[in-house]
Amino acid sequence: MTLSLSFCLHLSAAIFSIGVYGVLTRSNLIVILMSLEIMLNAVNLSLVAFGRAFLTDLTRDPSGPQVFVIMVLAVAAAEAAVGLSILLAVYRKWRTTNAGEIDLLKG
Amino acid sequence: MDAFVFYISGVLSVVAAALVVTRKNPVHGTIYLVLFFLLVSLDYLILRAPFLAIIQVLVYAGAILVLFLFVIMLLNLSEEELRESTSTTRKGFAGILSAGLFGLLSWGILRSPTVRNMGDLAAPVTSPTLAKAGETEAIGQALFTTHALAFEFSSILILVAILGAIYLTKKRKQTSSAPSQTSLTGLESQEEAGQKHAPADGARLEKRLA
Amino acid sequence: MHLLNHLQALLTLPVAVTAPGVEQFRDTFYPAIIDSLKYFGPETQVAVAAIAILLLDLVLPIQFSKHLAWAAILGCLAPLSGIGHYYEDSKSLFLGMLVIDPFANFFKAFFLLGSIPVIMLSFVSRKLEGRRMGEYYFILLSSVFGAMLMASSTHFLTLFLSLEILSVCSYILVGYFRTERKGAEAALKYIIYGSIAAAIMGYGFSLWYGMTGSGEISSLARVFWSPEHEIYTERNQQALAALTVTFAFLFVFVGFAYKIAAIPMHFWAPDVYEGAPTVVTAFLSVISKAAGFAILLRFLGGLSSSVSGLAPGDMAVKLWAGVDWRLILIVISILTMTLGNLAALWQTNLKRLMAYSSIAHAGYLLMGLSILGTATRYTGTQTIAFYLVAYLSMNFGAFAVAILVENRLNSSELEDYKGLGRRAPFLAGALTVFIFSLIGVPPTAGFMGKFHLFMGIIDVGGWPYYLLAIAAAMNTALSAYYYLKIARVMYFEKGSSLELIQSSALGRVVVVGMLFLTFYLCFCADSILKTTLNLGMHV
Repeated sequence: MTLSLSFCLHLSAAIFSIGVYGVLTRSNLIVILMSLEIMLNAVNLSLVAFGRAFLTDLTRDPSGPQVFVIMVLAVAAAEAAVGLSILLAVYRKWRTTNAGEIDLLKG
Repeated sequence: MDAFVFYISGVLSVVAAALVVTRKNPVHGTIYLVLFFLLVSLDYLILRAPFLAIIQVLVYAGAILVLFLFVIMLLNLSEEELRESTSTTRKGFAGILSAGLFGLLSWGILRSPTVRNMGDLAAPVTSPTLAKAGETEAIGQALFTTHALAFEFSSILILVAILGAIYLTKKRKQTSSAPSQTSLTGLESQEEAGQKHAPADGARLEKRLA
Repeated sequence: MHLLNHLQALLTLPVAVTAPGVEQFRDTFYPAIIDSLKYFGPETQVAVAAIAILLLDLVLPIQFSKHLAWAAILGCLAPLSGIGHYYEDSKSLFLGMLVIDPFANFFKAFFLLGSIPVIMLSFVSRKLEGRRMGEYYFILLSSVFGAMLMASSTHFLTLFLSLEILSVCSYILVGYFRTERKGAEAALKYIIYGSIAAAIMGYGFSLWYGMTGSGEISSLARVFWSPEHEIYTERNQQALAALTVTFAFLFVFVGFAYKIAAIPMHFWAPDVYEGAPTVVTAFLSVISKAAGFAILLRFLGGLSSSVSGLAPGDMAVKLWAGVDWRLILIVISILTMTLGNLAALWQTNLKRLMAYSSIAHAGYLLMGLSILGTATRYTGTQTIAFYLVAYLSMNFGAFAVAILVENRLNSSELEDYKGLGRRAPFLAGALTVFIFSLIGVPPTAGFMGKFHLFMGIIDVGGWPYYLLAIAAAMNTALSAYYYLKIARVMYFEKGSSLELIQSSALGRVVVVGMLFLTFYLCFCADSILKTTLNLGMHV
């Protein structure tokens, strides 16, 4: 059995689309944040797959994409931390975690 | 063998992601999210990124997920608060949009000669220097030489995030004279709690005030 | 640079070679990093100032905390000398991660000088009184740091990180009054939209990086085309990007569009602008938007420069199937300005109205992006740079007046602006000037900015550009309605009270400064634009 880059990229695209579906559909704020983490993981998977491909075909330095993955990880952690603290601040004032009920500012 | 394991874990990770996104209870969602992170970590291992695999477990499953669980525990949402009513049209529209996104990306990937010409990613790497590519030493060298700048900037990002998270969750000192019962979430006074909950469920409110 | 000399002396110390990379580090990377640090002075100074303010706040008593503003202003002025020193240089720093060139220096000076009114207005704003301001100025200066980095990034990694530094700082600033319902809601909406945009942009970056094999922003134009990789194909004397690369381009553009509040990621702007503290709204509408345009200019400018390595001469890159990315920009520009202007027509809150106005202005600025790479009298970069400075004057002026009024009246609703012509004649007069500037009426900066954008479009010619010019003209006329509504409310409607509104001296200084800038930019436009040409804004 061969593992093709195509399969890895399809996997990454599928996970990304599932994340997008989660963000658009759910109204529980925690689940929205979890779907965002899924999307960022899809990005990471795509980068790691390309990093592995750089080893064989393009013979480029594969540590480039992998360092990018570390940075995306750091960004995801920072955004999760700030997002959850904003969620707590919202919960204290609004007493709900349902995005549909938080609508003082009419979009 | 590697490819076979990758196929299994790949399909399972898609299933796990789909389960995370569809569970009503966020605690169930986090369980599947852990499973998802671990499967993705396995994928990284097969794709010759052992350092990233470990970091994925440590940071995502070990730190970010714990943060999520803390917040879920603090909020302590009841069955009724978890009820979501998303209209089926919105779900349908979102489903079409994400399926369309996947379709477009898939079309692009299948058409691309660059992707097609890449060989087997599970094949063993012959050259000894390249074989050590994803390991800790190689990442360390890259992180402290070519990409040293990014490494320094991420420290500023994390400092700002720490400060922001602390500032946004710091409780204000009590200004009202009447003692108010506050739970771990630092909810405001009972009057406000009463105002929000009165229309919803009077019986639960009685129980809380008692 | 005493410190650097010490560091360079360390190079001569004997180092025990235990790992194979150490010698390489010592001989190639270490000198490159030390050499680059010389040019990195301004950013370092801003970061040091931010941390110093944070630490100073620990020892200052609370009543002096607001005077940290002066330290922050010093932190913004001091790096300017470093920028001036290396103004003409064009150098790639830190092994291709950053670049220092006049374009980057212009934007860095813009961000530093543009933060000074924001800091002054924070000092003046009554809602921020009585608090410890150390964290506030730390986060403000960190966001300026992030913006400065954005202006000089040439690698996706630094671009992503710097954009995230600016974004995370903005999320925190928007949610600064976390105990207000509107503030918390605005911060929540901002971070959710921002994270989605960051994820989409990250996916675009990953596709781009993987397909072109290099993380540099201009990699598409510089990567050597080889037949078996077909990053782009050659057809009819054009270089057409592959489908995947086109998707990557679109995803990255969506991420940038979030930053400048253009379609399709403009949804956050009205809610965030309304719920954030007014000072933060002013900051977001100018500095954040300008940072977004800086990276867009670099990104698209990289696509506009010629492709090397292709056989029959050099040519610029088009997207898959021959779609010109400028056409996409024109469509987005028309949609953005139309939506912004239409939705602003029935707003009753000044901050929300300014949000839609800033969406519309993003649309006008995108016009300048669509003329990149074409040979016009003033290049796209020049017109955008000029318009951004004009936009700074109009927006900061309008928001300064809004803050001074909010200090006394505690409201940003247009209802409460009734009769302001009598209650605060100076403020009302200034706001009227800024309104005329926003519409684009001579002799204001806004007029000059729009004039040069229109001239640029008409210079290029061709039916898409003429359509764009017509749409922009119609939108300008449309915008006059809701802008003049503000003036009508102030002068021709009677408010509930006739009491005079006092405003602080520093606030008036900011307003006067913006007024001066408005007229100066109008009368000295040509000389300013010629100097920007010397800044290497050739695209």
